[in-house]
Parts: sequence; structure tokens; C-alpha cells
Amino acid sequence: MFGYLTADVGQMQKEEKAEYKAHYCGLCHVLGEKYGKTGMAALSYDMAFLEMLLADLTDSKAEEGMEKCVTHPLKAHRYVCTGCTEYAADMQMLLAYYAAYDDAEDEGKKQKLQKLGRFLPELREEYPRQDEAIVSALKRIREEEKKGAKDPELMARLSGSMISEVFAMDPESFFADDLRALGFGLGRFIYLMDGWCDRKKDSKKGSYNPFSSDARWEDVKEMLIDAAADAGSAFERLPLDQHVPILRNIIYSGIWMRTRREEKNGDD
Amino acid sequence: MTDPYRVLGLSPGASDDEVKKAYKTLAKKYHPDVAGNSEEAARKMQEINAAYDQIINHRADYSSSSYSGYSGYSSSYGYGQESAEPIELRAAVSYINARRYREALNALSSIPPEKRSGRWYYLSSYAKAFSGDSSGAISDISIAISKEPGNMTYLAFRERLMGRRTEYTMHTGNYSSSPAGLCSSICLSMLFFRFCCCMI
Repeated sequence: MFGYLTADVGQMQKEEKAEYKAHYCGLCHVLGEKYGKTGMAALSYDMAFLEMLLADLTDSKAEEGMEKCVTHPLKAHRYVCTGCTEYAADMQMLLAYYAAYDDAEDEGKKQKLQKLGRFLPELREEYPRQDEAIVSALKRIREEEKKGAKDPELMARLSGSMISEVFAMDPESFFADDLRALGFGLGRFIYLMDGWCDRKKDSKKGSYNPFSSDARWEDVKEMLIDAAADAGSAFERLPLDQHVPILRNIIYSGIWMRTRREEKNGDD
Repeated sequence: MTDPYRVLGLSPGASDDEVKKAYKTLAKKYHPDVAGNSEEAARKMQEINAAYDQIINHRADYSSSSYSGYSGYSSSYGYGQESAEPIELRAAVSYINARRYREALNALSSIPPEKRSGRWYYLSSYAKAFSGDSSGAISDISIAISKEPGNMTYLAFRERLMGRRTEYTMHTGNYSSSPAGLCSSICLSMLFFRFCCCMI
């Protein structure tokens, strides 16, 4: 379920693109430093979004560097780390572990789970609130899946509750609830989008999918807009002033990239 | 009540961006890391937070006479209704005013379905809206309205909820490759017509 919070790069200014990329590389840098190759393999745009959001909100100081990396070995490139990069990296690892756990249950892929599992005890100890939210939501999702529930909104809300705690980095912050609402909307959106995009694959494999076979895109689109609008409204309530154009690009355009791709492929 | 714009050092009618910038500048100034743990700084921080909240989150309430600003929530029930009201509803109102929406929903859920009034559904809708469950919020406010069709507060709140969607699609219009088909269902105004490059 990763990679939905991406930018619509075609609609970005050159400087915005460079800034976005530098933060993405900063996240990768910290993942590599703290978690090695396993960490770098877990990198996603979703947590790059979270990092930029939290860094802007908390006015976190940015530190820059230049480096060559595994994917870009020839030319040194700029990366930016802030006081929120480590949090985003840690959340990335926590979410990656539970995604791998899900895969292992579904398809018996154990190797990735083992690699990520090494870091779990520490992450759990440091982030019990986020861990608990993820574990309890996933448990409910599993139960509903076993029942074969075809209630996409219910499932999406469970997914939202899990992401909302991840977004609330500091629960004491005056803006914790707005961050939760933003995470909740995006979590809902991602779940619905993921379910819709995977429905054909799931039906071929006989896997669970929240949508019934006669679900219509018009109805799904309404649910998606609803979730996105919720995220948008929470986003606009936050006092942000550094990365607003980039973050808006993601919330208002980037998150829809998948549907556009689907339509191009003549899927709908 | 103090003018929230003045608290932030702005003139009334300042844009959202100006409000956000001013908030951040002041929040930095009174942050414990900078100002130390003084009572004065903590009080100032509370004032700044309240002013920000009032401008950004309660603007509709602020400008309309049916509410009265930050504490508008409880004040719209200020005419002796409280005493007759179940304690769970009063608790929910307190939680909502403290922005503790999930606890508000918890308090509400202890009232059995057959005893849920229009106001119960309104409070539930309000708490859901601010904790991220917008579809639940819309369905609850519709029930509230069906129970008390003439209630202006409920109607205004539904407007506000629906406004989120309009605002969202307005923003998507700024991107030329706006969500495919997004406008087809909710493009209400001629103003956005030219952005409606609906592909479905």
C-alpha cells in the first residue's frame, strides 16, 4: 500500500522538484544510516511527504549534504535532513514491517519479514502508541477480511485510524488532531485507491478485495473525493509556510496519479 | 473577547497565509526552547493558539451571529438547555470544546440508539468531522436535519461539510491534469468550467 502519496512532477517548478528530491534523498540517507540496506529498500514517497509536512509544521532546522549513493553512484547529489527525518524513517520501518507481515500471511513470503523484524522490538518500545494503532487496526482489518466483508468505507476507516496516529508525531502538539485528521483522510484514500486498483489482480488470485465485483467507478470516485477532501481540509488548517506548493501538489494532484495511469491503460 | 487578529499582530481580514506566518513567528518567539519555561510565555502561547484556532477553524462561527467565537460551541446551547440535557451530551460538548473528539464520540456512544436526538446526531457529526470521518459526519448531520428540519445550526453545519468537497475540487482545478473525471459530478459553478477536462 505504499507509494500513493507521490507528486505530480509534471506540475512542479524546477526548484520544487529539486527540493522534493533532496528531502526524499535525505530520508533515504537516514534510512541507510540507521537501518542499512533493509532500510533503504523500504524507502517510499509516502514518508517523504510526512517528513516535509512535519518539518514545515515544526519549523525544523534543515541540514544539507552532498553524497553519491547506490542508485546514483556517479554524480553526487544534494540531500536535506531535518529534525523530522528520523521520525519519518522510523515510521517507514514500522509500516514496512507490518506490510511485510501481511504479505507473509497472504503469500508466505517470510524473508523480508525476517529482515525487517530485527528492528521491531526497538521501534515498538519507542513508539508504543503508533504500534498499538497499527496492530489493532490490522487485526480488525483481518477479521473483516475473513468474514468477507464488502464494506470498503469501514475498511478504509480502519486504515485511516492506523495512519492517523503515525501522522501525529507529537500527541501533545496543538495541531495533533489536525495531523490525525489529515492522516485519517489520506489513510482512507490510500486504502480505497489500493483496493480499487488491485481488484482485478485480487479476483484472479482469489484474494480478498473490499469492492464487490459490480462496484462502479463513479461510486468509488465519490468515496475517494470525500476522503481526499477531508485530508485537504485538515491540511489547510495547519500553519505551514515552507513546502506548501509541494505538499499541495501531492494532496490535490499527485495522489490521483494512479487513476490516471489506469485510465491510460484503458482499464476503465 | 479579544480580537484574534490583534493577538497575532494583524489587521482584521488578513489572509490565511499571513495568519499562518504570523502564528509561526510568534510561536517560535514563545516556544519554551527560546522563552524558557516562564508562565508568561505559556500564557502567551495559549492566547496565540486560541487566536489561530478561532480564525482558521471557527471563522464561519466568528462571522455569524448565531455563534459567538471560540466558545461558540457551548454558547449556542446557552439558553438553559443544559440542565435538561443528558450528562453524556454535556460531556460530549466539553470534549468537543477541548478538541478531544474521540472522547466526545465515546461519551456519545453510551446513549442507546433509540434515545438519540437530533442534537445527539449533530454532536456526533461534529466530532466525526474533526476526527476525519467525513462520510460518517455527513450521514449523521443528515439524520439530525431529518429529526429537526428547521434547525439552522444543523443546516449551516451541513453546508460547511459539503463545502470541503467544493474547496477540494477548486484546488484540483489549479493542476491542469486534475483528477480524471473529478469535476464531472461536482462541477457546480461556471467559474470552474474551463478546468473540467473530464476524461470519463
